[in-house]
Amino acid sequence: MDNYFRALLKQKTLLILLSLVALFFIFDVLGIMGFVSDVTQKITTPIQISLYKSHNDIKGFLSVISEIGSLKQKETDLEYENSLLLAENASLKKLEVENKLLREQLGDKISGNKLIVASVIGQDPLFSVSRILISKGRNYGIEEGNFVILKNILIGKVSATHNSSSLVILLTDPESKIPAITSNGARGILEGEFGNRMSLKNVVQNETLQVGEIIFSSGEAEYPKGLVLGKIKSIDKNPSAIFQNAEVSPLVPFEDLETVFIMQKI
Amino acid sequence: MKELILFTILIVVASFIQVSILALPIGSFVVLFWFNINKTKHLIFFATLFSLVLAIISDLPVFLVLMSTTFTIGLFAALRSVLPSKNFIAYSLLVFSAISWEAFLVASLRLINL
Repeated sequence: MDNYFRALLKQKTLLILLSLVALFFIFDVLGIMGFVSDVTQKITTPIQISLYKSHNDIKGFLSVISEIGSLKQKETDLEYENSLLLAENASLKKLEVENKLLREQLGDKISGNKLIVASVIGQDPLFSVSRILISKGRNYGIEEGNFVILKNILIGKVSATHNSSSLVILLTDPESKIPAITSNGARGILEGEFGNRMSLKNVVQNETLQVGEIIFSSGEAEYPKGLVLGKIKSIDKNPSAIFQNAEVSPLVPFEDLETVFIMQKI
Repeated sequence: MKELILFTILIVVASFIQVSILALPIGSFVVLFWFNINKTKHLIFFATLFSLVLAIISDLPVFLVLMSTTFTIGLFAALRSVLPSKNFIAYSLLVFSAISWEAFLVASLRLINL
């Protein structure tokens, strides 16, 4: 048996490390660490961006090679899905025009949002949480609680800001809970789960859920209404349970994101 | 001296990999690996370097990362002192302690509601 613990105590290593913890805590409170981080991040951010992008490129290349056999089938499926979406898009455009006219007639003031573009510079270093780091922070007016989107797809919410970067909590993080509604009107709560997964929970039994159905934010709990959250992958319906649940997959793979937009209220 | 430079580079690279490529506690594993071989020699330097680099590039509070690293070192030392000094046990302890580092850091982050 080796006495590692005695060595730690004898050399006062533990004591020194704990004193350093206290010292860094004081530095953090005084804002000294913020200053050090800002200066250092000017050098580290480009390295992080190139590492992150190179990793994504290599991953993409390898996945193409491994999936080459099933690409033909995928193409056929996508063509079919695309034609359905085109039809849906055409009818939505018509509705959009009608909606705009109605809003103008009713004198509705639509609250605007300013979009700030940011690069994804990395992920959270912890395996059990789903967060990403983006290249814009307080210097650009980013605040905690700002929503992060890609087109009309909600990616997550800013959970912490630094001067030149921000931490975004993704929809797949276990802490993320968003009031949601399906395209057929079934309401529930979209919750992130361990292992980069999402579930639509608390949907009452008499509501109808369908595989492939798109899920939107319902506009409650400070979340903007109508942002796309994901697509139903499978349904878990047990007649003896009060609620039914569904597994939801994101429309964009969060791990491959390179650019995102931050919604800033104006 | 060579070993010191090699581990310094290894810790910096491991921190970058952890943030940009693979979200596994690689950096804390490297620090513990050093501790397992060289005991307390330069341990403070490596633990602080790892905590500083990781905290800065991933926007985490340095004191929390260092606290988790200190906790992990303490845990590894305590278990290593009571368990038989066989290689298999030592390496299993390294993996276990690195996982504990992650668990402790996640718990502390939740606690301060970051």
